[in-house]
Amino acid sequence: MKEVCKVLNPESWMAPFDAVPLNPRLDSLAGKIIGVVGQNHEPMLYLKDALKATVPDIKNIVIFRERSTTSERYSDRGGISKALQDEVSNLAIDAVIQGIAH
Amino acid sequence: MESTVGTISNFEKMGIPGVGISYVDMMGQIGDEAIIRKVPQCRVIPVPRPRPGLTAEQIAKDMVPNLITGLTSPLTDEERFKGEVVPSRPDRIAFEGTYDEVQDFFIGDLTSFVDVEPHAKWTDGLPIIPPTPQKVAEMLTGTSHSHDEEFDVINFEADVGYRPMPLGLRYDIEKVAVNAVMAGCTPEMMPVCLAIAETHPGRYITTTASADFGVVTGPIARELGMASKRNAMMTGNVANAVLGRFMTLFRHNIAQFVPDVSMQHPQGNPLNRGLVFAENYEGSPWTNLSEEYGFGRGENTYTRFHSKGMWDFGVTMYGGHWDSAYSFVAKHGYRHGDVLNPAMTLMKASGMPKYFIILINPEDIARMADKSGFKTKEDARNWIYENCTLSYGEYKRNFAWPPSDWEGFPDGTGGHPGHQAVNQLKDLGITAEQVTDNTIVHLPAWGPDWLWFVHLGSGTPIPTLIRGNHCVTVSIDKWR
Repeated sequence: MKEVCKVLNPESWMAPFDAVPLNPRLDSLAGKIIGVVGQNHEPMLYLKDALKATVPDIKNIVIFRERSTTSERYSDRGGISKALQDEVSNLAIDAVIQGIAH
Repeated sequence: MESTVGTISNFEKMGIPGVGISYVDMMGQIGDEAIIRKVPQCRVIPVPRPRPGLTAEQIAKDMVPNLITGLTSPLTDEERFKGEVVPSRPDRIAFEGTYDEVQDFFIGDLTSFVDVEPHAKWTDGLPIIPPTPQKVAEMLTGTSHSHDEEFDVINFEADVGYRPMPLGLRYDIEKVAVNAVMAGCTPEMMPVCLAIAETHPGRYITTTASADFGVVTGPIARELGMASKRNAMMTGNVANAVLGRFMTLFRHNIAQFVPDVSMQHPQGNPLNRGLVFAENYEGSPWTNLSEEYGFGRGENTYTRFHSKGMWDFGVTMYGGHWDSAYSFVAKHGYRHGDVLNPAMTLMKASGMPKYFIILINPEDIARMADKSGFKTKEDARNWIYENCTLSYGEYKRNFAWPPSDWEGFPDGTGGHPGHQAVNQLKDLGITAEQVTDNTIVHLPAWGPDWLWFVHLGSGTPIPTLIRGNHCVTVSIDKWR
């Protein structure tokens, strides 16, 4: 068919949003407390020892049992629970590693 | 994948620097998820999956230097940026050309796919009806609402009970009309399309076989000629087909779903091709979906369901007819509710037995109400929940994801799909010390409310079981 026609764009557009900047990084991991969240893939089981072997003067590595959640049981879908936030704050965690999720 | 960036973004917002880890084949989702979380520069380290010759222990050792870099290397200007990001809005007219050129334009440049198989840009892969200004204007006559009325975009982090629109995407009624034209809908279908749009059939960001399907309840289904009886989910009914296709095009173009990026299930879910059908509730003593969700029996509603997979199951296992089924259970001293045993067997075998939908014809429901005493949906729901059980040991061996064993009960119970049984036991007040492998777990694992019935079909008593859940039911009439 040779008839020329105009067609409308079917795609949505993205609303403006306020970008959250990253926090300043650490000088080094030496003397720091590192939290690790998300233990549901096997490489994560070995991370603590691997980190300690590489950074022997790391102060502590805290493994958080509660993984981030995508469950409908939680209102903070895809995020972290208030309990975990409190726990991380109380332990004065310097930085966090989120483990493999899928 | 959302959990990786979701967690890191939460910590960054708390003032704690973070870095995530993702399998390398999942990195395509990271950028989208980071924008959703408003942390577009979120740091995530890609790692390979374990395979023969590459152990999990080696992967852990190899990732450490990158993790240290992620936590210590200075921020770039982009990572430090704080302020409003204003994405550009596409032009209203997308293209001008001949019919064939328009088709090619909507398919897009398939040669750009190098590492993955090609996928059309703005279609489901099939030719579309060109959404000309005239066709779109005709479609807009199907509603009294203004073409520039925008939909409320649900906050991703809100407790909405189902997956909302990603990326803070905006769309108005004209965008819905454009996609309705493309799908082949008529203006009379526009209120249904708008109801579908209101439920935000979004882009699942997942590695699971997630898909949506929709149910139209009320007299509008008959007005539109929708199928609700025998073979209602098959091809050939025009209204079901084009409304299902509209849902697919909505997902592709408005929710901006990208196969292989947004969803990375190994095989994919064929329900993503778009399934919408009408509810067949005539003659049923049970509530239809409109009534169940706060509307009148005769009000027109659209219900969005989420689904994984489906299986049919028959009382045909008892001889092909309800009478022989009930004769069979009586002869063997079974209970009348045991005619649903095939469904319960499938629930136990479903892989993640947390929530289910049963599609069942109204004649079967009337028969069950009479013979089994299931006068209401709740009766049937509660009966199944009470009688569909596994031992915790059996559940754990068959359904829990490995981490439940690694982490142990009750610590590793962060709501992951593998842990509904543990959550259920907690809800029932059973402590970790009291749990043994013989402790009884009920299905659906999230409780009786996580089982839905939808009136569908007619004829042979073969219902269909779907692993899935109700998302939301909305009015169609408000969009007339």
